[in-house]
Amino acid sequence: METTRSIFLSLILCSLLPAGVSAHGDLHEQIAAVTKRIEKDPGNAALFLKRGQLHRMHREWDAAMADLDQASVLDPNLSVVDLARGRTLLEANWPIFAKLTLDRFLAKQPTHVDGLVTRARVLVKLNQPVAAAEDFTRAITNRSEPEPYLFIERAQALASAGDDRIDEALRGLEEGVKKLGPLVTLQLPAIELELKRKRYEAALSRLETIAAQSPRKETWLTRRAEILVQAGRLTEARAARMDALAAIESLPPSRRQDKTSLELEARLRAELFPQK
Amino acid sequence: MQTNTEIWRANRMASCLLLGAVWIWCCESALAATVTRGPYLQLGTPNSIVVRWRTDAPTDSEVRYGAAPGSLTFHANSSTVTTDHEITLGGLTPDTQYYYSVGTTATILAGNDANHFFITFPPPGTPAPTRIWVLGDSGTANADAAAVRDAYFTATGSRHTDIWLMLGDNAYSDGTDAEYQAAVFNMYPTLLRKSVLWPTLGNHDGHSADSSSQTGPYYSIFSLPKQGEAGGIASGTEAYYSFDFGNIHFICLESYETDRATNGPMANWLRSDLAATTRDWIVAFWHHPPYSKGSHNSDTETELIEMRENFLPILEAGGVDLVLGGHSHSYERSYLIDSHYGLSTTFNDSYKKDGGSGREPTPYQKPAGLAPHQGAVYTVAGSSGQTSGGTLNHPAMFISLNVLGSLMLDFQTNRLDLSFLNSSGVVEDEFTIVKGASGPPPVPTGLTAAPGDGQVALTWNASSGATSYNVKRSAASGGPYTTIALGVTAPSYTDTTVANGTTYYYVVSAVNAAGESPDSAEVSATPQPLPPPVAPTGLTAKATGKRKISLNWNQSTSPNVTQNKIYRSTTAGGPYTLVATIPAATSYNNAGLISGTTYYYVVTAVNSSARESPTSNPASATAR
Repeated sequence: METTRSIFLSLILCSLLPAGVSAHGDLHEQIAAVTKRIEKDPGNAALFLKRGQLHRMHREWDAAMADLDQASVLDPNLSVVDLARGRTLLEANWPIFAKLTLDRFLAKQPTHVDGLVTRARVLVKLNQPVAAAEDFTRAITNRSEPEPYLFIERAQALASAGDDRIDEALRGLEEGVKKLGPLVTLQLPAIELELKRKRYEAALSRLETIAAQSPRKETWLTRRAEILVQAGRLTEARAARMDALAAIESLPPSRRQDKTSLELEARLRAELFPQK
Repeated sequence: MQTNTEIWRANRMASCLLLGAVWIWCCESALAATVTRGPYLQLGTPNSIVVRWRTDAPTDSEVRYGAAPGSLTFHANSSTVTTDHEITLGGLTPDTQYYYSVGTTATILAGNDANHFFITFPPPGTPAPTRIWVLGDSGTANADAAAVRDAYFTATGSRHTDIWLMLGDNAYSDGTDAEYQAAVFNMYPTLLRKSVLWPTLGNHDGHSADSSSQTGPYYSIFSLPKQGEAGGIASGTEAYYSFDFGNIHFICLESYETDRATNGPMANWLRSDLAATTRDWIVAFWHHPPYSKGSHNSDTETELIEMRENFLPILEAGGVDLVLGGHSHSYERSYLIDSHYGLSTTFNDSYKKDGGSGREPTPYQKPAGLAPHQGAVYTVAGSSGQTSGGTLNHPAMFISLNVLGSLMLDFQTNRLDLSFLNSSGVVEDEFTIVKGASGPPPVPTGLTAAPGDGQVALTWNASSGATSYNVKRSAASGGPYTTIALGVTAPSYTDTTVANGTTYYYVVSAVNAAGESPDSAEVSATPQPLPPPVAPTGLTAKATGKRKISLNWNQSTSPNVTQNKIYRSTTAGGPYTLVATIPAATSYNNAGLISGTTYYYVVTAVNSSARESPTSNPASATAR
């Protein structure tokens, strides 16, 4: 009963602490506060786990690992300690050891999303992008409302695995679009991947979905022209630049005169009407 | 043996009994239910709003609404039995006041009176007088927070608060549900039911919430736009989002747990969101302030540094006007500044677009609409629940106060007025930004003239809204002045067309599309040739190679040394012959000497007026 309680407590504590935060700020105060509690309750594994996480956020790797080890000693059933160790070792740039400890954790909790995401990032560091993508996929599957970054990081991992994985990366981003809508954060990397595969029409189609969300079109029309140039469709590129120019000209004077608009307009004019 | 019919009848009877029991339970629950949280308003738009509340017993949910209390002719409901109720009202008319009640499909539990109403947002893009209340680090649930609240309520009086913002650390110390109950729902119940609250996540909220999974009390309590439903581009997450109110575009970033990289999802979304907006004003807010020397230091803490280095360039290129942060439990407010992304030690006047107070009669001025890099004001407002001191000396700040308080913002078409209201209701700071002012810029202030040799260096404070400056000079005090430079874009100019020994009188004026300001106050300077520098000291000579002697000395301590001259003799005491003139340095190698000969050296320093110092001490060495 006590073990169950402490596991539950520890799980809560673990989930309370954000990943990847490396500031000082209130960490000193938090560490001091937990230390005081440990002095009064030195047999409490959850407190050592919590302080270990705080040390990790403070980038004090040795102190973090020492606290996590102590948490394990006090409560050997605290499997979440392995997740905390994995994060610490990842952030300390010891990916091989991070993977070992995360393998151990995920063997006990194979659908733990944070565990899967952490190991995926470890695998990226170990130059095992396909395995990383598989972990990201498991994380996505086990999250009821997956966040955009999961799809983005999976696509980045697959794209880094070689050109033959780009289609898979794109399918993954498309899955994100279907689940979350045509988010610009998903469509922009997808456009880059489409261009890598020289699928200009698909890139243009994705660009359309972004432009449709934006009341201001000049930036996206300019991007359209760039893609059309890459595709060798110069007449259409010229038309897109003309459209971009028209979009700028239709802006109210206050916006048309701003530096960004003026620079874009000058660039478009230089491309449309080069000086001989 | 039972027949099928008997079994069916028995089942039917059992079903009826069960349904009856459920019905009685539901009714009893509904009758017994009490609202323990809220109602509170979320996710307002011109045509919709989310109403949320909590009951002590599970019930179904219904919001009734209409033009007047007692006349709630519309309703929206959900049959889901729950204690945490969330109902979206759609199809509303923009800029319209609705009264409402919350309860079950059978009973009104709260509202249907003059104190339960909301006003839908104005039509997109339409300027509207807007009152906003901003709280930072308010979650102490103590008397200080209550004093700050009461001071604002007194100040705003009957003026409706259109929206309010919480800048993070909304509920101490861990952002738990119970702490939110005490610090938010029990603290601000009257405002929660009338005005939409837009929060950002603070580090203490982050103790119990996780942005990567959008779980924990913060994410459970608030309904925030993920799909661009309140204006702006869809972010796909409640951690960072944008929304519009009239002609103001608000951007909420998450500075604690979300990737702060320049190529991360949040930064990419921000670029697209800024490129898409057609509103006239941009207000950005997040917890960790980019500039602070309060209880947190923006020179040393990761979140603050990364938000400054990675996000300010994007926001300023997008034309941001006002950035709000908390975290430090103080009030700090900058000048109108731009493009400063380094440590506080690198901040200087060149980053000030306007180095004045921003108070009437010299408000900060910006061009109309959204113009990149025209300056923004950065405000730390983390003292709505406690004060924690600090050195409070960030040079970007016009004012820094270790005082409890909150911000009151008023927008009117092309004008923003911000007041810092302390916990006694006293306005301790205020400033104004005016966009697209019709008149010329204000008179430049702070003109100084520093005489040099054949030149006078002029500097002055940038004048808000100025696109350039004219520099004028006279040989007599009071003029008449001759314009010696037109269209100077920086707030500095060096006049090199002067004669040493003559006194010159200067004024500058500021120019924009609407015209030219009056002349500034006059300053004068008399350029003079520089006196000769003092001699270099500590000359040493040492044979360091075959037929080579190395010389080292301490440079002259006089200013503007541009050269050193090396003199040599084969006789102690001279006479010396000039062997080299070199750019200002502290060493020289004299090669090609005759082995066995002793050489004697002295060096001098020469300044930018070509005046030469006396010689240094002599030094000698014998060439090998």
